[in-house]
Amino acid sequence: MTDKAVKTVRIDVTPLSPPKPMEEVLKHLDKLGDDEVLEVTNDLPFIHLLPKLGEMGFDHKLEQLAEKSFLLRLWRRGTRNSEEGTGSTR
Amino acid sequence: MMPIVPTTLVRITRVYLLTALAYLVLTLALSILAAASGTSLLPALDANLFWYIGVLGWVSLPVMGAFYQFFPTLQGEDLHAEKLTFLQYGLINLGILGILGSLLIGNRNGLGLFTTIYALGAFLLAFILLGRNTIPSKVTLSIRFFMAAVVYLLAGVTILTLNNLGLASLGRPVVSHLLLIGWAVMAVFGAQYIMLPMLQLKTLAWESLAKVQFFVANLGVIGLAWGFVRGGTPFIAGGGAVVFLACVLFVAVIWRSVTTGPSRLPKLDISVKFFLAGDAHLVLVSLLGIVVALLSINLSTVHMHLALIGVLTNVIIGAMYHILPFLVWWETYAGKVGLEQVPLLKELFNESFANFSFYAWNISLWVMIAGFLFAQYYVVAIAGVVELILAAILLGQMLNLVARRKSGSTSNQPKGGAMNLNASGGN
Repeated sequence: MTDKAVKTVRIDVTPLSPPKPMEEVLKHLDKLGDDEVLEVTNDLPFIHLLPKLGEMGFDHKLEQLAEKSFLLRLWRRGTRNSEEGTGSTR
Repeated sequence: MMPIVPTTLVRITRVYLLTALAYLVLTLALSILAAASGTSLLPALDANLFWYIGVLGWVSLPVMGAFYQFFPTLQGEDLHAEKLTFLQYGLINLGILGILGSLLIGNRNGLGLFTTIYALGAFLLAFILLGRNTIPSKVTLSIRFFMAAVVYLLAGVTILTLNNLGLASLGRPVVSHLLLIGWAVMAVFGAQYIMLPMLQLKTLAWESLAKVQFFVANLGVIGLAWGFVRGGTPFIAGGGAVVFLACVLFVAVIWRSVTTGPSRLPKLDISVKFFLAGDAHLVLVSLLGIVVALLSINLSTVHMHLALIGVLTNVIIGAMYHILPFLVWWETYAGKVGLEQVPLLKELFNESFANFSFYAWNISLWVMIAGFLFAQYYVVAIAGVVELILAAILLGQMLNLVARRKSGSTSNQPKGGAMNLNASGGN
């Protein structure tokens, strides 16, 4: 997996009201390939989604960029996609 | 990168939920005494005792506590006027305990006074939620249900207060139905529309139907309330039929949501299990309500117990198995995100016991119902003892969970299934 370029899929769910951000993330996770990382930006820290991700078989990294700006990066467990990808956007 | 800082809004919710569990234990203890008094083993207790503690305490406190979590979260805001929530909590509990004391010593003036105090707490809740924590542009379907629920709470406690002060004699049924259907069940509708998809990682199906269901449910509650105040049996049965329709529509939306789309979790979430059991009882209770209204058979006790335990206790316990662990998880581990391993949510409570208690609650409920139907009150008392034990264990577990919230560290984390919130690689 390290030999392959990692693609990054970026979505911004900031304009959506609950539960749409979670639904949008789930929709993209269903389609996420082994060589892809999903990057989601939001004004809230995904607090209800985080505890469920492990059960779904995903690893993740959450960063707070500013007071109301969060970046969540997700990839399938067992892959090694933690570093920045190639930046393609779905 | 900034550290993730836990918010403070969770505090009052936690206090409300734990207090509610204490009232559940008290309600069940009083119910057992009442059932035992039916066998002449004990002097008859005032049946009002467990109605007040059950409806105003066990049922209402979790709704209040959950609303302090839902209103800001669903609108993407912090809780405003948080200090007032503690005053509001104080008024509500002073009211309940005062009512309990007044009933025990048979003091009617005290009953009126403490019901007024409880009502003040309800009005303060309405001010905090509707006046300080509602943004019109961010009102979603669930928030609409919650706003309606608060209005019915105010209507119910106002009538109850007027009754207890001797200023009106509108009777108990209108208060019961405003509080249990208008307040509690409307909250259940709104909460499940947001919680069930979130917990089961699904999408809410038939959202348009859910929007229609909001109006049907309100029409039913208003019809029922008018029937009990002045309209009589045609309005009670008609309002009950509309409430039944609202319940069927609700269950259809929920069932469709659970059964369609990708299955992202290997099994049903424990909270969802409790919710679905509560929903099934909801349809039954609303149908039974019409039967009770139209036919002269005395099933009021069965109707009430199915509503309080079958519907509301199932749903509240289900909600507690998510909300309390989640609040503790967030408060304890949010600041550790990216720094160390933290446990899964379901590892914060005993999932095996939760699954066992799901069946134990529902089986004991139906044993209790059989006891009522066949006038075997010792059977009712035995089922009540089982439920009392379950409630006491749940209270102990949740107190223990809350007590260890600040001591969470990797040293006592479970080894398996730990989730790395800042995983730099696979596994």
